[in-house]
Amino acid sequence: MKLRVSPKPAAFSACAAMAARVFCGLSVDCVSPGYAAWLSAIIGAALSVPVLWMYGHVSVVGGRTARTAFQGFILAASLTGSAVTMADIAHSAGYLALDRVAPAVLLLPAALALFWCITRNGDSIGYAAMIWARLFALLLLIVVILQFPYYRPEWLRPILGSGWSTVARNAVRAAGWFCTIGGIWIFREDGGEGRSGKNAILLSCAVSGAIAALLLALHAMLAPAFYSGAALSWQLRLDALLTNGRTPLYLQMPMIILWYGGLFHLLGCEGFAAAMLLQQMAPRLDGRVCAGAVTLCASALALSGFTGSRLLALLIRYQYIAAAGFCAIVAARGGLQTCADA
Amino acid sequence: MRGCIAAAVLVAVGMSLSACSPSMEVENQAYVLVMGIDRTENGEIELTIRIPKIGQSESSNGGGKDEASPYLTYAVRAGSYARAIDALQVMVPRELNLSHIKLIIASERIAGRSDFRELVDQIAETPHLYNTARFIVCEGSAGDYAKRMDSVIGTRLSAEIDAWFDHCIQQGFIPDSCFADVYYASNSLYSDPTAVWGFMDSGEADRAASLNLDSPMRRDAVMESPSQLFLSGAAVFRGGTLALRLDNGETQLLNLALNQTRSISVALAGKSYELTRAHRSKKSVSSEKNNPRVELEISLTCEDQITNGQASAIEAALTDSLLALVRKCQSSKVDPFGFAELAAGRFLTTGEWIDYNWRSRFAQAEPRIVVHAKSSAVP
Repeated sequence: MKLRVSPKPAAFSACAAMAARVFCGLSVDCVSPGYAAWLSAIIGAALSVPVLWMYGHVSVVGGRTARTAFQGFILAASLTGSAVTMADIAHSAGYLALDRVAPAVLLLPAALALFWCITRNGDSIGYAAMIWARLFALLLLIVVILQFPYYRPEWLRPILGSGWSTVARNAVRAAGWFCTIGGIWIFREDGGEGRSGKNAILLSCAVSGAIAALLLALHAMLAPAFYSGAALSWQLRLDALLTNGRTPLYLQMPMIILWYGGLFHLLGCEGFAAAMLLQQMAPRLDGRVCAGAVTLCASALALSGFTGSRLLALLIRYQYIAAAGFCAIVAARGGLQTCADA
Repeated sequence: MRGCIAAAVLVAVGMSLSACSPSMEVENQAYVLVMGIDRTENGEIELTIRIPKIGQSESSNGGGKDEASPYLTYAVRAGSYARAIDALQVMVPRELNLSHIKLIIASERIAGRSDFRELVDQIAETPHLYNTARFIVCEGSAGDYAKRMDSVIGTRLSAEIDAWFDHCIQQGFIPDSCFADVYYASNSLYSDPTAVWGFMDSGEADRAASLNLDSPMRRDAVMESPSQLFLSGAAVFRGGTLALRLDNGETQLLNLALNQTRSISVALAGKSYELTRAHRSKKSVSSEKNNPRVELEISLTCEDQITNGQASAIEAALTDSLLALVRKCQSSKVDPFGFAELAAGRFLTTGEWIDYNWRSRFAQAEPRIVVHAKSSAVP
């Protein structure tokens, strides 16, 4: 079985996954969610544009070694991203199950779903993301209308929050997610695409950056950031997102659908990218074997506690710098040339 | 075959995500509806909860009310909030479930302690408790207040609490805030939060009515529940600790300033006037950073025909009352009006805003109140 994804589904899948990852990463997955996260999402999307643009040059001028090294980097990032998402899904299920179920049992449905998604191949995941995009817009509209009286725009100020350093730090983290999730586009099928391809991923990046910024701003208008910087439990952060403590309970349903829908599309995209890259690096492996390997590895990482470790937080902080640096070095060595020239 | 496998996987995923397990059976759950939190004289935390009975045979062992009540009462004392919750889990014969809690009651004594904010943080962190619970600061014992909560008019207690609060909020005598509002505002950089003030002694209503007799606001209307509990006025917090109490007349004015109430009743020279807000109240903070001026503009219409003289008298009386309210808050260094949010917009970073020390600035700010009153009736 050959794992492949067509351009359009890949762009939609990347868009849904980028928005979900940046929103989760700067809100629920952040121990001390700060102010101005929405601004970081916008800046992060802008930062990732040149790197995503350079991806094409790496594919074309970098040669086989550079390409393999870069595939390895995106594979590792996608695998850990899948593990983080699986841990989020397991935590969410644990929240509903009153934390009385073993973590492995909570993780099992996400692992099964991931394996099944990957074996359906990339186009299924991408077209599901296209359907999700429409459903997402409708659900978000319902949530915004019903929560409208509770939004407090003044909680977005002071506009820079803790200052430029925090905004920049979060922007670099967001840019790292944009760049690594963009890998599903760059390395789809046999890699190396023309100009239209690059424009599509840049458009996905811009749209997902705008969506993530909107979601983060809406979230901040419902629950203000805490100046104390106190570490909040994951459960309270999820509570603050789903029920907010101020909005009616019946709003949990569309919020929960949005939450799980976003997480599963993120998991599908990152997991498929990891499996596809694994197959590209080891072409003799069957797609189902790659799907199984990725599912097992992501599950093991999610169970190991690595997803909540400081080491991973540190790696995430530098993944944008690594991606940008790698692209810059390869592009410089090969000489700056357009794909058309190549 | 593939379809069967896919269906099996989907069912497995769906079942796991719905968190179905025997422990979630309704019969196994003790759904807490009301929780009272207090501190004893020797410093222990006292938690009192009310849960609905499943059958009439069930009896409470924490000093509950009469056996005829459809609700059980459990009370525990422990060295910390976490231990008290643990003790309740042991004491209650079913699984303690806080996800449907409707009301949290804190005594005036515990709310006034400097460590109350930490306690609020711990309550918020309690798994599944964070669900739009209302919040009362009460005089006397929070446990006694919680024990007296009962459904006496045939409805469920959860529905009765909602109806009681909604009615009081509509009248404007209590603030429209819940536990999460207090939690958020206590930990954020903006205005100070308010909670509902409650008491059990009916004599308090008479005392409230005897205060500030020259005020135009109605002070005799305290909202009594069928369980002979009362809600009236607001508790204002500063840094997460109870700092000031507002009576129901002051709370009406505060709600008017916060656009949380649409109409008020004003009594002048033996005559009562029903006034409705014509527009949303406008608040502003002047741009001078060193000596800011806070401004509040309220436009009201009277449903009855009033003369210019009566309109001027209403404007003057309400202006004086609002000025007195602002100055009372300034003297306690609390800003429940929302001026802080406006002032914060002038700063780029939270560091600059914290250094500005809004509470001290607000305490010294010059208040300017403008009230417009006119008749909506056709002459």
